[in-house]
Amino acid sequence: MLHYIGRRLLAALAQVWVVLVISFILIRLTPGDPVTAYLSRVQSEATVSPEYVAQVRRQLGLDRPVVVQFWRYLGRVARGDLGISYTQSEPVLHVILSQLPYTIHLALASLLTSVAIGIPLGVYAATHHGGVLDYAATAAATVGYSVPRFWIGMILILVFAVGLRLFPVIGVGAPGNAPDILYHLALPACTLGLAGAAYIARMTRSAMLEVLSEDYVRTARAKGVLERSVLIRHALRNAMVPITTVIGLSLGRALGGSAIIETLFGRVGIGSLLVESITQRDYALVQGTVLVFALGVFLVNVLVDVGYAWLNPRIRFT
Amino acid sequence: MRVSLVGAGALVPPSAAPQSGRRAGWHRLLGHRSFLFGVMILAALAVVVAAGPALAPADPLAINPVSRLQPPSPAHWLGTDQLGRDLLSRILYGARFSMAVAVTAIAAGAVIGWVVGSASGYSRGRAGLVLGGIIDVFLAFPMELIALVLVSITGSGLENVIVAISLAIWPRIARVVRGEVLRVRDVEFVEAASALGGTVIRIMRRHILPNVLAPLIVALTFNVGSAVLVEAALSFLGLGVPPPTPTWGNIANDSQKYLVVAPWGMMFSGAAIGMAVLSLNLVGDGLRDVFDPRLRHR
Repeated sequence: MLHYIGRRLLAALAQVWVVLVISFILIRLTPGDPVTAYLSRVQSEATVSPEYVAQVRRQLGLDRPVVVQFWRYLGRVARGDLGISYTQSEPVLHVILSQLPYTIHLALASLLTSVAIGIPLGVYAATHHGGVLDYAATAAATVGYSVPRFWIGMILILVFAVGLRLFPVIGVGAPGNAPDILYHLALPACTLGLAGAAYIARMTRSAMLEVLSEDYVRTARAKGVLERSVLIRHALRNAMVPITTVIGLSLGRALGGSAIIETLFGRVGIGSLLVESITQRDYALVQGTVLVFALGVFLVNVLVDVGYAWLNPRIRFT
Repeated sequence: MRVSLVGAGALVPPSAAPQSGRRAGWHRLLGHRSFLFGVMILAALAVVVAAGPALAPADPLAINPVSRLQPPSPAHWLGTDQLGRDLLSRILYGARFSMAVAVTAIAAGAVIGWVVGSASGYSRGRAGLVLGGIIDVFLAFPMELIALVLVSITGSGLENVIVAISLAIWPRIARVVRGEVLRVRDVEFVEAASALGGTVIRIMRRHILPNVLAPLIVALTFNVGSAVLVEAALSFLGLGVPPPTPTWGNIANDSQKYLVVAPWGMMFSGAAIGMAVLSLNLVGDGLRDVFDPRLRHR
C-alpha cells in the first residue's frame, strides 16, 4: 500500500514538473512586455527613462536568457519563492496563500453538497429503477450537468438572495467569523455542488444498478439481511469504487469552476485571482496560480487513487 | 439500461458485414425516447443556426439607449441588454457564433486527439508510454482551466478561443482512441494483417478505424457540448470572443453586472446554452446505449 502511494506521488510530481515546464514555456511566448506593463502601473509613462526600464528589467531578472530564467524559476519554486506580483507588489506566494483558504472552503463545501445530494439521489433512483422518481432524478441529473454553472448560480441568486433575501449576493464574509463565512459560502457552494451532484447521482445510479444484480446481493437478501443493510453494506460499498472516481473528478471540476463562481459571486480566491492576473498580464501571478491549481488537481488525483486502492484491494497488487 | 444488439465489446473484423447490426441499431434509436427528444432540440438549433438572421426581429448590434435593460415585452420578446440591443436577436445570432466555435474546436481537437491517441495506442515501448503520459497530464486538468491558461497566453479573440478549446479537448478524444486502439491492436485479425505485410496506415484505416468509430462518434457528440460550455465560461469571464460579437457566453457576461435588476440576458443565454448542451448529451447517451454499451459509465 505504501509502495503504491509512493509510486502515485512520484508520478504526480513528475506531472507537476511537466506542468511547470509547459507553463513557463507558454508564458514566455506571450506577446506584450511585462516591464512596461509593470511600470505603467506604478507610475505615469512620462517619467520613465529607458535606463530605468533596463534597470527594472534587470531587477526582475528578465534580461537573462530564457533557459537561465527557467532554471532560476525552478530553483525559486523549490524554495517556495514564486516571484513578486507586478500588480500587487507583493510576493506571489503571499498573495496566493492569503486567498487560497477561500477557494478551499468553496471546493470542500461544494464537494460535501454534491456528495450529500448525489449519492442518496442515485441510490434512490437505482432502487426505484424504472419508476417515476427514477426518471425525474435521471432527468434532473442530465439537465444539471448540461446547463452552465453561472446559470445555476444566477437562479440561486435570484431566488435565495434577491427574492427571499436569505443569503448575500457577493463577498466572502468577515475573516475569522465562521458563521458569516458559512453564510456567504452557502449559495456559491450550492451552485458548484449541484453541478457535481448531477454527475455523482448519475454514476451512483448506474453503479448501484450493476451491483444490485450481483449474486452476493441476492444471497444477502435471501439470508434475510435487512434491506437497508444490503443497500449500504453490500451494494453501496462495492459501488463506491467507480463513485470515488467521479467524486475526485467533481472536486477537480469544482477547482476549475471556481474561476466562474468566484467571479459571479464577487468572492476572493485563487479562481478569481487567476482571471484577474490573466486580464492584467501579471505573469508571475498567472504562473503561481496555475502551479497551485496543478498541485491541487494532482493532490486530488492522488487521494482518489489511494481511496480507490483502499476500497478495492484488487488493484493494490497490480 | 437497454442491451445493444451489437453486443458488449464486440469487435468488427474488416470482412464482416456490420450492416445488419448497424441497421438494427438505428432501428433501436428510433425507439429511444430521450435520443429522439435530443434530436428534435438539435434540429431546432440547426434551423436557428441556418436561418438566424432571417428569424431575428432586429439587428443584434443596433444600440438603442432609450430602451435599455427592458424586460421581455411584445416589442422585445426576450427583453433588451444594457445598450438597448434586442436580446432575442442577439441570442439567435449567438447560436451561430457559439456553435461555430464549438464545432470548429471539436474538429481540430478530434484530429489532434486521433493522431496522438492512435499513435500512443499503437506504438509499443517508450514512445507509447510517453504519449500516454502526456495525455494523462492534460486529462488531469479541468477543461476550463486549460482553456483559461491558453487564452492567458494568446489573448482573447475568436481564433484564439477556438485554439484554446481544441487544445483543452483533444486529450478527451485521445483517451477514447487510445483505449480502443489498445483493445484492438493485439486481436488476431490485426496481427494477421500485420503479418501479411499491411502498412501501419492501412491497418489503422481498414482494421482499427471501424472499431474505434462508434466510441469516437459518441465522445465527439458529448465533447461538442463541453466545447459550448467552455466557450460560454471563457466569454463569461470576459476572456472569450471579444464584444460586440454576440456569443451566448458574451450575452451572459454583458448581463452579469445587471443580474439583480435585469437578469434576462443571463437567463435566456444560459437557457440556450443549456438546451444545446442537453440535446447533445441526450443524443450522445442514445448513440452510446445503442452502439457502444461498454461505455455506459463514462
